[in-house]
Amino acid sequence: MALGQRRRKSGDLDVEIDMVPVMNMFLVLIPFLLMSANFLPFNVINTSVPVKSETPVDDTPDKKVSDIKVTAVVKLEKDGIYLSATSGELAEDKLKEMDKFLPIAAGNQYAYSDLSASLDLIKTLYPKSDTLILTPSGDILYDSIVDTMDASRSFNEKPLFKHVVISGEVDS
Amino acid sequence: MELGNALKSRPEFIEPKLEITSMMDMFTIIVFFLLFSYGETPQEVTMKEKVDLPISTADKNYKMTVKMFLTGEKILIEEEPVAQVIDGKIIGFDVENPEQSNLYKMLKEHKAKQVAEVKAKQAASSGGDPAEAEVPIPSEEFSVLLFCDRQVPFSVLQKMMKVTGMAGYPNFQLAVMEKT
Repeated sequence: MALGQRRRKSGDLDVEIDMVPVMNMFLVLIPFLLMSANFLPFNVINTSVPVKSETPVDDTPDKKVSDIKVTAVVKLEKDGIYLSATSGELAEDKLKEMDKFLPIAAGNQYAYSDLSASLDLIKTLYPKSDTLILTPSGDILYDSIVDTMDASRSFNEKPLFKHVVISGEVDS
Repeated sequence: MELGNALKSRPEFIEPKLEITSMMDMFTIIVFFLLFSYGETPQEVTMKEKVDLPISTADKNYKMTVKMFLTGEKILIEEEPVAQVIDGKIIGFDVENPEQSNLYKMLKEHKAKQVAEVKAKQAASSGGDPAEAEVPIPSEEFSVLLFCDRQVPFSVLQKMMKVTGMAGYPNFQLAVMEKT
């Protein structure tokens, strides 16, 4: 009985943990982490420059249309976008059907949505196609190049041409 | 006398206590959030030069490689200026002879350093077996993380990309700002 009373009394003791040092540590830690954290929210677009390579020519007879690969060529000029296609597996007249000129719209804006729609048509016909060659002229700004790459990569959440190669002629 | 009575009848003074539990909870959450966000980013990228990056829908995370900056006025490699750009022309760059440019030489130095590092890693992982250590390095290993200003014309960018490709870096990671 006496022991029980003693236990109860010791349990009633109000023990307080000193949180001040912990708070001090947090106050030092938070500014340190804030300063060292990287808040530059940037992403990347992967691209490459044309490289000489030996690609084996695939001359399989009676190849299914869905297996044919087409490389889209987008020429970015001051007056608009010139779209064409190239492929070793398609006849010249079939490739010519894909040629298109998308003139610059009012407010000097390129017709990016029309470009995406045209590329979507090519992708629907030849689903294996995944490479696009982008050829801007010398006076085109980098901002427009990135916008064109965005338009070429996807259309309404549907992936289009994931490999974009930047190429161009330089006049010295 | 009346004042004295009023003082006596006042309730007993209770020492105020600061309730820090909620503050501790908040600090703990902030510390954990910062620790996790710090761990997710590969490495910090500092931009001393003013580069106005274009906005894009790209959502790919970057891989830390050789960093190149192309502003309207100069080209920098790892924050070290290598060439000046005046009126859309790279100073000290000859189209006919790009190997003589400072840009090419600097990139070649970086490439040699990177190759040596990769080979040392391969040698360490192969345990000294020379046949295993001679594995060719895939070209994907050599890419440049490019920070280019949105107002730079393609004529400048193309020259820079051509030299970079010639120096052994055919792949580029174009840094863009996330579209919100």
